[in-house]
Amino acid sequence: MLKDRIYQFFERAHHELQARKWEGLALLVEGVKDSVFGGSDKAARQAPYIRDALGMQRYMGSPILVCIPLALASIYFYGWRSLAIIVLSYLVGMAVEFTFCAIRRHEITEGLLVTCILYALSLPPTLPLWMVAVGIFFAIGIKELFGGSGYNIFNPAISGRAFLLLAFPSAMTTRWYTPFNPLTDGLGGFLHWSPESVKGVDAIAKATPLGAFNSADIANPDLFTLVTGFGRADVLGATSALLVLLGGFYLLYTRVIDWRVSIVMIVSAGLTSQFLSFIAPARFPDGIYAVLSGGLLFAAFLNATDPVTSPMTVRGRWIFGIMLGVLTVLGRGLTGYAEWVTFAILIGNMFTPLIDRFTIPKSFSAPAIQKR
Amino acid sequence: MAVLASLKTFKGGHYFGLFEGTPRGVRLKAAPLPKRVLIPLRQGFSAEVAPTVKEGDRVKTGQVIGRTEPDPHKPSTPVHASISGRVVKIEKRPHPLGGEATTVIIESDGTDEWQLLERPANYEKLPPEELGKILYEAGVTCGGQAGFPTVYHSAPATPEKIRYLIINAVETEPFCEATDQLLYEEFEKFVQGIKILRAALGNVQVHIGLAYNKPRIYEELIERFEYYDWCTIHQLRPKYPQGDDAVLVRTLLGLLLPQRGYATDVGCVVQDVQQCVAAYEAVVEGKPFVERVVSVAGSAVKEPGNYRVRVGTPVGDLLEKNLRCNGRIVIGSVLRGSAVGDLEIPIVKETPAIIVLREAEPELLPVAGPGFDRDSFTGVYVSLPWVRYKRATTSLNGNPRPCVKCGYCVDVCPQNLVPALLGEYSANGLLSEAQALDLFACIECGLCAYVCPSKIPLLEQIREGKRKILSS
Repeated sequence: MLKDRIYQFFERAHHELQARKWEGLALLVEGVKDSVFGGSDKAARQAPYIRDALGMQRYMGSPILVCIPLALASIYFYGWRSLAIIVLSYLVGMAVEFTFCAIRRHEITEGLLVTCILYALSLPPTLPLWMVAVGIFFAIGIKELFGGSGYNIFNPAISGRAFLLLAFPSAMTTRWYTPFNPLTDGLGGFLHWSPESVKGVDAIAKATPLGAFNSADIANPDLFTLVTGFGRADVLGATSALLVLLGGFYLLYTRVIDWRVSIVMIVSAGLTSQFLSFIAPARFPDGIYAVLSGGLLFAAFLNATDPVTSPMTVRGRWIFGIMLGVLTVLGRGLTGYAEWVTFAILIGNMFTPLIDRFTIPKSFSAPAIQKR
Repeated sequence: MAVLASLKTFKGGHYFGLFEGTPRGVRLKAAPLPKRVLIPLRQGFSAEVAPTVKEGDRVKTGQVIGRTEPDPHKPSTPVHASISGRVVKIEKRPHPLGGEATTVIIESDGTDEWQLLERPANYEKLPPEELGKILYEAGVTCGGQAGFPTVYHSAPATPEKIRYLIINAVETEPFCEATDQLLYEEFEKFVQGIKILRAALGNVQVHIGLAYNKPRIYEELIERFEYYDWCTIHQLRPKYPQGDDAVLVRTLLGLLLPQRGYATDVGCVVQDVQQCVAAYEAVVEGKPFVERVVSVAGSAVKEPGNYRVRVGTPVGDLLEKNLRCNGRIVIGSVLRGSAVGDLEIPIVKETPAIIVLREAEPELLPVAGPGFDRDSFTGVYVSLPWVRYKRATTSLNGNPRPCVKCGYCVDVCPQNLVPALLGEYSANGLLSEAQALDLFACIECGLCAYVCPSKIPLLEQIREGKRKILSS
């Protein structure tokens, strides 16, 4: 059979390379074999002898699956330039990860693929490509310095974005494109490099919806625009709240992400903002507006739920979700800065080990009794 | 009688799909009489008994071949020959539950001549001590859960402290269908057996935990126990590991078992269907417990079935000519049992099933498929109602990776533990930290290692940690 022949080819190649002492190449071949066969050839050595069909590939593949429609939508909204951003993130990210893996001799893990696309989708469409490269270099580099996937304390995609926000604040927050609108623009971005290449300066938007709320002289978009993303300027992946919601619900349904982080974060942010909008309506938008703007949905479903950097225990996830939601809204309102989702997640990440430590559930057992 | 309308269940756990090679609904068959049996003189984790026969002796089926007077510190019951024939050898051999045990090897003479116990004239009037003595003489010990001392489940333990008799009629282990089948086919013996066991324990309260997907049995049980105020029937969701002592006692009565303790520590005796039937056969028919039901199942088995098997039958006898391909032979449970390479390993009273799994074989891009025949704790694989059986191989279904703290083990743990931390601490020798997180509350159900997407052998790590603590 074909699969057996492919398998034997890999086995032989690995064997030959090892015989010639080309360890690095042999590891690479092994890695490619592992990703092609997904570990199906590896057998359980100890009990349990049957294992769940879910491996790390499929687990990490699920958010990527959800990101594909978002990426397609971003190409439609902002032209092929968004694909260039995504591809560049992957290229630089992989180069950094492979270098570290070769030096530190650990396997290449699937987390990288998620990080790169989540990072790319959370960037503004106008960002110069070299800045994209710098950001992902930082993101993957800092993850690897902490020991690679599973050992990082900060969400890599978010840390890359935070780095860009601090290093290039104006490029990250002040230049936006008005996206192609399916109601008026037909095939839109599928035919163009970017909105700017068609409409020129007309394509430049002043602010995202949250930026519009914070500034007195820009009109707030209506609810339809917020939900569909038709004509709403935002980061690549978060333009259409509807698509993000659909993807989020898929992840919730398949149990890949936990509702205690995502839904709790969204609801607590919405409630906090709604409540504070009664007190300080100039600083806090109403709950719906707060949830649908500033990339909150995207971050709640895809960044905050990063398993490595969010708590493991049930109570811990509640605390984490509430903390992120409240911090986001407070930060936005009190500082007038629209990027508080990013900082809230970073702060939450810092607290994750502590939360985990103090929320270990009580086991269903009585203390040991003195034996006769 | 109290009938509880609400379905009871517990936090965590997992509903397994129906794996290929599960003998669901296959009628019980008597396995052919073995040519030779290997009977270990140690049962479960109870004390080993001294042989009462010599090499060369002739024995009858049901004759005692080993006994040591009972001692509360070293509980044991007599061991019986399960076929008639000649004792050919008494030697140390590997025990199916681990370690070695003195084993009596009997060669069959083909006649299967029985030596029955003395039958009491009117068993319903017997005092508890007499009944307990009969059960002890018949060697009625616990089946099912290997790892729990058998005699703590049987009548002569400590009757004065026992307040509840719990009947475990919910089998949730994948592949183990024989006890369910026994429940259907020997319902009468099961009902009488419950009454006998209750009488032997001094007329305690009885709680029956029954899986809710057996409405016929449920109705019949109600009919039979309608007029007894000492019986409560609970309907349970068939979620693994509902049948485990700690989980069952907690679900039915809300009692928490002490760490490193047993159900008897909270005044409960847990018996499963096989024990009830064995108790009936011992007291009414005078038959010692020498035959139990065993499922022969798994993806490498040609015709999965449920068999009545004599204790001591070598595993090889049951699998002979019934294998499609070579596979991994697992004794008892695919989740917590152990794989054996030796076909001479005997079936013992604690063996509910023999499972042979196909070995892992490479598949091209398994990550891309819809996975209609995959069992998963998560919903990432699509289930179709007409794809009945789930694939069961020894494949890890993934590459080993560092822990990403996804929390599935926390979600699935029936004991409310954090298995990822327990495993990590145990593997790295941080034993006091592991104990601080209640390492010994773990019932070793194996679900954490089952669901782990990073394929970390959590069960093995936790067991190793326990071993290290106990041996230090």
